[in-house]
Amino acid sequence: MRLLLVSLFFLVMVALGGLHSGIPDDVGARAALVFGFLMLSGFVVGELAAKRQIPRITGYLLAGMACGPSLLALVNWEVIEHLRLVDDLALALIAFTAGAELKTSRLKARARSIASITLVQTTMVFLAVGLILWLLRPLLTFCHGLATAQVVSVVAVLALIATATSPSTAVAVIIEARSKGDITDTVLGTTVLKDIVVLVGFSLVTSMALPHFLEPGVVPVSSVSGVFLEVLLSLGMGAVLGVLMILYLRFVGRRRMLFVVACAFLSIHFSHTFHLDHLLVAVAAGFTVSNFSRQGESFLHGLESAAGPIFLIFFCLAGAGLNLSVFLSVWHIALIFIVLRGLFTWLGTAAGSALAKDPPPVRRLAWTGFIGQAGVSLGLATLARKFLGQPGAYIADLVVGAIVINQIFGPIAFRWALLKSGEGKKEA
Amino acid sequence: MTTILGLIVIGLFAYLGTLLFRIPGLPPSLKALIASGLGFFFVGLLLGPYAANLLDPQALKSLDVVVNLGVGWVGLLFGLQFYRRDMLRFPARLYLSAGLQSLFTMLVVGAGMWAVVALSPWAAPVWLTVGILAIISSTTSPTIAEQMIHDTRPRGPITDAVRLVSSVDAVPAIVLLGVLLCFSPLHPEGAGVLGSGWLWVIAACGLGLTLGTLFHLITLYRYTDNQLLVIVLGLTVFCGGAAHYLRLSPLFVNMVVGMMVANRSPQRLRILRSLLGVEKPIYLVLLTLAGAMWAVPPVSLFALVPLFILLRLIGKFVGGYLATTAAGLEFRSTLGMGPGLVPHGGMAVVIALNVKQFFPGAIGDFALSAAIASVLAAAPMGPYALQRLLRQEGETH
Repeated sequence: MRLLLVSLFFLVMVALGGLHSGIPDDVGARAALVFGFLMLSGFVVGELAAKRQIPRITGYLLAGMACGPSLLALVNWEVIEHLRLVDDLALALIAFTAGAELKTSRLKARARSIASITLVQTTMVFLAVGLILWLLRPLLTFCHGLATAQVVSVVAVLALIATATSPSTAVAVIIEARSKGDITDTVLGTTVLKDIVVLVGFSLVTSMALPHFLEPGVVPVSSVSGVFLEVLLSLGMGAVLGVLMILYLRFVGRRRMLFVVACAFLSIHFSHTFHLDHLLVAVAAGFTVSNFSRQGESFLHGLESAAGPIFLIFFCLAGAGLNLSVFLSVWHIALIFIVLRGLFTWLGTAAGSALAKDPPPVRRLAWTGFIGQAGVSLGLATLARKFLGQPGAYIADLVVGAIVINQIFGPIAFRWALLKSGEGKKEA
Repeated sequence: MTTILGLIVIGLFAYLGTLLFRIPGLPPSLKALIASGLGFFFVGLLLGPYAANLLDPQALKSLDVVVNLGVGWVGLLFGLQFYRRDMLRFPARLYLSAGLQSLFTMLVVGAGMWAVVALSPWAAPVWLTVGILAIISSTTSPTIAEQMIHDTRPRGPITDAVRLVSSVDAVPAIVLLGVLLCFSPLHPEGAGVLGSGWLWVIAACGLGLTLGTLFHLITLYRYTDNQLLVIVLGLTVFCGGAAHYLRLSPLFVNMVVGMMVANRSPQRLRILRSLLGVEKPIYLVLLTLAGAMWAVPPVSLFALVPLFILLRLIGKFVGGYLATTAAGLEFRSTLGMGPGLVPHGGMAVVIALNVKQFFPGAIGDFALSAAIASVLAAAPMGPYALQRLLRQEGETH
């Protein structure tokens, strides 16, 4: 019945489109209308998903995809671009939550496991996916005609992107399932740590790959030391922002949520101004507030209570931004990529977890938390498109195609794992 | 560097604001100023292109959705208070006097401003500029009146009358704004599907009624408080966005939606609570954005702002007196209800912001400047004028 109501809203939109002809187009107005519809349809589909014990965010993503440019085309690329700031704000708030969820008291107990899984899983996925893609290179049309060094570079970039995961997806599933326990802490800690490792690794790989794609005499723009500095500065800036937030919460304390939104905006502004990673800035800020102040608990509680609308906005927009037509054009290679990535993520996590002598549920189930891929992978794919010419464009399309599937099944698998391990709670 | 400086200033502002709020025995005028939330307008000014440029024009354009949400939110909340059974508790003549004083004020301000604006070298349609100013002038701030009533605890029919009139007298303003936009250059005669202004007025009403019905239907289900908040947020943005998309007033359309929901939905009170729960943050964000969006209007227009304030005061006094007489209300004060209606506040700023959305140039800037200046000017006067009236009527000491 509620889907029927959403259809009525859709009909209203169609009618509005008819009435609008002859009126000059205003992208801001269109964005507001579409954004409202996305929220309503995302909410309804999310609730339907929750009834079937599927994460709400999967529903949000599906609703976003349905409204996106590839299907109903209610949302076009111009509108998505227009809503970028709203999207970034939601992501910053999710990153605050992710950082605030990282409690040192709990992380200390999981530190060995987090380090071990990050190291083993990242290495295994990178090497194994890279090697198999290298062996499959006759099937990869975008490698045809490239020199050996160029093929190695392309495969390495693709393998590196395969190691990336999505902290925002993990934190959304954890909060929705009200999950607490070893798997939860391990996945949360590892996704954040991997974010740093992948960022540095990507820079390392592209700095080696770029010379094979640049015209002779052109100097590559990024360096590994530069990325290290970026990571350090991002963490430092986040810590400073966190201290400012603590001071506000301690001495002013009024209109907390408003202040946190303002800080999210600041973290985006600083990240853009100083070319920092805004996810890391926000995670570090949330971590600082949560671990170094007496207001940490209430801060986290406030963020969690506001999480519903934030996740809805972020994942609906993320879904709308996924290009399904791209997936259809590369689906066969994307499927190979997805299967390889999933397989070695599972093996890598199990091996890393075994090395750290984790309890059996962590060894068996934690890998599901690393399937989801979103912003980080998309960002890396965009960089590949920018720097690696034609093969880079193909990599980007392939990654977007893989994200479509990983982002649908990743949250479902992770939620299932959290429920199975007893850490998560079922939907009432 | 300007960013850091801006941040420091904002931090200081926030801290000083908090300190001020905690001081007991603040003068009513300062309390009224704080209650109006105008401080956030100045925070916006500091964040905007004039100072720190944290909210640059591109970011402000991207935050259109938030402005739409805020304006729609205010309209919806305003409409929700018109629950028929609650309304029947008050005599009809009070509503009549609310409407009349509002219209009288518009008339006084409109006539006065017309005489001056028509003489100035002003390129935009005079009727539109004057109409917008008249509409902005007619509203009264219920928040400031409530604050004063809360502090001095007066009791009696006049107190009730002022309270009611100040909380409903924005209806004519919102309705006229809705109509004015339909006849404005946003909908040139003969252009578009509907062609004529009156058809656009009917479309605006129809849109409000349709969306109100859908709002009512979708909120019939059982939701937790958080879920209801998400639904209400989505619906507010959708309704506001739909109106904005057709160049109709989101305030008007959402007010109609609110009225429908108030009288049809069994969830009325929960929706109201849900809206009220985040009213203050949304309103303050709106004021901050208004501050960032504000630009100094042409000097020739800016010079007219003091006149606007003066005309509004005259309008409120005359309008209050005439409405009191026309509605047959009994007052000891010779000026009738007028002095109680001086406070000016949030609704005026929201109307101005709504105008600024459609006319980002000089008209929007003039409207916003006039609204802000009037709120500032009314803050020191409003509480005293109201207190004096209630004293004369023997309802407070």
